[in-house]
Amino acid sequence: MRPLDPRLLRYAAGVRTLLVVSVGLAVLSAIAVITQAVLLAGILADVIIDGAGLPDVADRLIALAVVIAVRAGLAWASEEIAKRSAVSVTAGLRRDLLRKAATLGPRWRSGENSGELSVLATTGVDSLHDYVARYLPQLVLSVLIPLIMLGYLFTADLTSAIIVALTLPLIPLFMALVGWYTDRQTKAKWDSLSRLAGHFADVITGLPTLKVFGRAKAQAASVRRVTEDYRKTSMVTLRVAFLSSMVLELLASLSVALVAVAIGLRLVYGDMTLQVGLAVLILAPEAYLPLRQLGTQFHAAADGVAATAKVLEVLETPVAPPGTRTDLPAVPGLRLEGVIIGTPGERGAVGPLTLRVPAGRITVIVGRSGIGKTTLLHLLAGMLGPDTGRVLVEGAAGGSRVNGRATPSAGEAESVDTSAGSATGADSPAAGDRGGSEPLDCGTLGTDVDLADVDPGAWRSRLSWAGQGAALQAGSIRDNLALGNDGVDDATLRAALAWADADGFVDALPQGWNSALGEGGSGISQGQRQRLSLARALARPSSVLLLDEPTASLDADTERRVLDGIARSAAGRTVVLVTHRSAPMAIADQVIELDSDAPVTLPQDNPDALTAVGPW
Amino acid sequence: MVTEATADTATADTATADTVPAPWPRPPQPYRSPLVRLIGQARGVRGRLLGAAILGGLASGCAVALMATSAWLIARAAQQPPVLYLMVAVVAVRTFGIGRGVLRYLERLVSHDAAFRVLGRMRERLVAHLAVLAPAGLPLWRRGDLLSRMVDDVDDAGDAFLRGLLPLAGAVLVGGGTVVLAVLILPAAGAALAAGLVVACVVAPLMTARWTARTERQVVRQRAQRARLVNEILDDLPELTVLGALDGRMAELDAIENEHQRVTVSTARAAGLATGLAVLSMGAAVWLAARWGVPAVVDADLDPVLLAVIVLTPLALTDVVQAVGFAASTLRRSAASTGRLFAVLDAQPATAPEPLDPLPLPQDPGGPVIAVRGVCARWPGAQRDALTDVDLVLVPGRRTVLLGESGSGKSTLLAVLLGFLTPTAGTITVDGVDVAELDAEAVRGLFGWCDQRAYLFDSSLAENVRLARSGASDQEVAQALRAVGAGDWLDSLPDGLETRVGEHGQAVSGGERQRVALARAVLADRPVLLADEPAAHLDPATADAVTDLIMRPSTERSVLLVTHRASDAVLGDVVLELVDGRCRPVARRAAPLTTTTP
Repeated sequence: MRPLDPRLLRYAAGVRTLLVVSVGLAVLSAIAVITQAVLLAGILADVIIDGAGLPDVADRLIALAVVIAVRAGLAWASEEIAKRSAVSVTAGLRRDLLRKAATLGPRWRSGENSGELSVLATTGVDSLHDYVARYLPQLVLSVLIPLIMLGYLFTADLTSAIIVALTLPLIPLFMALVGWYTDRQTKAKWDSLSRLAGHFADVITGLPTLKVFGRAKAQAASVRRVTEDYRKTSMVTLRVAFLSSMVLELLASLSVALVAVAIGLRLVYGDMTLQVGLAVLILAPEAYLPLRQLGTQFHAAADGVAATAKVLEVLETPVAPPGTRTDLPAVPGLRLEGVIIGTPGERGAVGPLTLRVPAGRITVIVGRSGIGKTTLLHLLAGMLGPDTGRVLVEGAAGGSRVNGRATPSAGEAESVDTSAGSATGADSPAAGDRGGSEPLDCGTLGTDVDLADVDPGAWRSRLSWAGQGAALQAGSIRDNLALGNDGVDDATLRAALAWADADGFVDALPQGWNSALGEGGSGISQGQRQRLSLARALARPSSVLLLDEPTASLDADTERRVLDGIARSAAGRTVVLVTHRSAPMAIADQVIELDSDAPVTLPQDNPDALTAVGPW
Repeated sequence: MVTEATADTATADTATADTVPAPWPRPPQPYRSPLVRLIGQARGVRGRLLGAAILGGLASGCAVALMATSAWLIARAAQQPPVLYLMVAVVAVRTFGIGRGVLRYLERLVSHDAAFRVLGRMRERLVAHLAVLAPAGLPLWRRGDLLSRMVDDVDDAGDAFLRGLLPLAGAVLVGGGTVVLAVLILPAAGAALAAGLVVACVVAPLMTARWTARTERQVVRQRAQRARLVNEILDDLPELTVLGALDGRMAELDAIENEHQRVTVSTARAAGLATGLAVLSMGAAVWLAARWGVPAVVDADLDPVLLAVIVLTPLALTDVVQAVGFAASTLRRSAASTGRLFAVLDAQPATAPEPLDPLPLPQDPGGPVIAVRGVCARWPGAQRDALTDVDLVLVPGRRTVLLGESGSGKSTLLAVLLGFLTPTAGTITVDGVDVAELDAEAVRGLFGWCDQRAYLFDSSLAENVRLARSGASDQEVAQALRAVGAGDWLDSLPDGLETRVGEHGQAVSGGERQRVALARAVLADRPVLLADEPAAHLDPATADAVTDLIMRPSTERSVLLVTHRASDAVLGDVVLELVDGRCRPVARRAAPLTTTTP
């Protein structure tokens, strides 16, 4: 285990400050300890040897009182400072972690990292609290105090200094040995310990099953047997494991004993003054104390060290530099060329995919759950880069450039019944009859742009997204609808609510859209949450609409109305809707089926070829 | 160094404990601290624990004795007596120098051995009690996180001994011993030392605890808010990124963190003050020993050599003071964990007591007819009945489909049938005999069971199936698996039946998992099969395959399929529907034929 990862200093400025302050406090407290020892030794020596009385030592007693007060003050200060920095360090790391997770995108978070990241950002970062508050200051002390004490001993008494100097380095050495041994030998112990806890958890969780099959009562005995076996085997390991820490303790106390005896013998022969002897006796244990305390803090620190390593691993995950191009068409089309995510054939792998999402049309992507439909949306949203292949924005450098963000006017948005698009761009064709229309012409097709080269901000300003999670938060319904869409007018929002078939239930609420939702949008049903999330996506002035199972929790009638609304809102927008249901295919201009057995490949010149695939 | 290392953790624990519904109904009994009850669990191990405490006390005592004898040796040596006079002290100093390490080693061995034994007993008692409670008698059964939490709680209870009670006992021994020594030398100095120890080891930790408790409610709330917000942000990251709303949510997080920081500043100050106070009080004990010791030497009331002893010995108590601080914070944390464990042990089963002299199970050659008549049932702690006046008959050879929305009481009905929950009214009979007269285990032996999401134990595939009938051969296990269509899967596994599944084993898909559950039912070969939403978590194709397997016609078996899929109605000979806990028959022909799958 690495006591302090230097990378932590780079990411947490609070740790740097704490270390600097701790060094200052450690030096001051070492000086206080030495002063206290010299004063005490002086008073005792004068009284014992010279028979001094209270008046002779009065001023030194006063000085001693002052030193004791100073030590108390230093202890207070270091404790408070350490605790306060720990809180700010953990807060900062949590913030950085979330920001980084946002940058790393959904793929990194999926698979093994899902759940783990949530644990790391909450309890994991919290476990750094004790590491920063207790272990780090102690680490500083255990480096500095022994050195300073040793320095003093060399000036005071060479023999004692040599005894301490010879044994002191053995302690970190043995600690390293103990650590190494712990790593190697007791890894087995922890494994079996977690197996033991695992067995217990397994039995408890599965008890209903065991009970049905009449096996529950036997479990108590089985748990006892496993625990007893574990006790026997681990005691054998512990007998050896504790041996090394015994050597550690032995070194620290035996060397103090050696120092004391050596002083005593020299005093008898008058080779040394009592004052020096007593001062050395007081200070010798102080040289070992911080190192021994570091050992006892090890327990609290271990979690923190593990968490630090994980946090740093996340923070240091390389990220490809974002693209810079902003010359995008008002209504972009998209194309996937041989895109592969992961290793084909393995769980969670997607691709190879070659397909085209024509501009201004509705593409419905179907496939069973787990096939990678959501991953495809992540690809199109630019939140995820392909391992192989390219995601292209079609006709980027073509004739139609965006002259600023496309913003719907209230008038257009109100005329929903004539299916006017709320996102009609300045140069997109007039909304009208969509049935059977040709793919939207975006002007002369220019060169395609790899999505990886596109400025993420510019791309996101084109996008709307309604995912499987509704992403609603505490606050009024209106605030939720306007999230990330500042300055949107009420008419646009009303139109979007109507498209998502959400106006009915929202108006039925006592306070209409001023009704407050709870945390995570609680207070309304899952289906209602999903429709609000959809309305929010539709209300955005965007030209690419990515919809992930927008009708998953809806009954058939509502589903039909919602799909109708999506179709009406889609004029002048490129819509990609992924689903495992069949109803959305009704509004599709193009249907693409994802199937793990038949990789989707699509001749570029015949984008509609796949409409024929599947039973529709 | 007296601080609350884990004050924050402790507060979080209390919060979790609060969210667990109180175990009910609880027999009236005087409140006893969970830690006191934990010591009660140590019956039979008390000798070892006492031994460990004494060894621990002696080990820290060695450090104090080392300082005391060294001080004496050096002060006496300065008076230059014949070396012979010093030899005893020299030997003592060396002995104490060695003693600490050796005694600590022994203490660790004895205490760990004892803790293992106590924990083993605790686990055994928990499992034995849970076997009675499961699954209806424990409100937290439906919250998996709390269940696995219990596993950690047991380990925390072990910590209560190893890092809490034993070090505390050792500290009391050493502190008391040192005070006695000081009183014998100079009573005033002894009193000062006693006062110093009380302030450092009792007042200062209590002060921190009191202060932490004041802010505890706020800290717990902020921690929960923060965790919820972090999880929401992580869940919603794609939406938040696309919507450009991430900054807004991060600002919310910052607001919580700032508030948290504001609250914890006062806790940090209290911890700092307590630490300073401990250092000050122990320093004061040293100072007072010098202040009162010097005049005593002048007045010849005190041997000058002993002045060194009485002034320097308190310096060696730093370790003890620190150990008390650690132990106090460990005990605070363990008290919450241990409290939760005893709450489980105190929980009462949700079933009526079993008959003392059960009737034999009727042995009808045609198979058992199970009749449910006018049954009402209510979950412990619930405000209303989950089942009202339900009638149902399970006849061999007849397949019954029970439809119902989630929350309509379907799972409750199964729990009642399996004897996990005793009805509040009505009867359940097996061939005319009330199950209240029968052995619950024997009645349960009539049922095979397939759950919504079958539980796989962390063991081999064979063991997971074999638990349905111990002693079944590998061949029978494999046959059962093949019978439920898991043959191809079995053949594709490199380790075959010995493949590890469950927590640490290979990933098992939802369909395979349900087939294992069905294979259990096949192997157990029970006359009634209860299937609780067996296809709930499966994709449509697999769902149909699994449902078909369950509903295969059979002349001697009766089947009860509980489902929310209206399309399954066509598979039943009898179709019932549960609405708000009330059961009504559905005419087969009239069963809705609309299907949710394409």
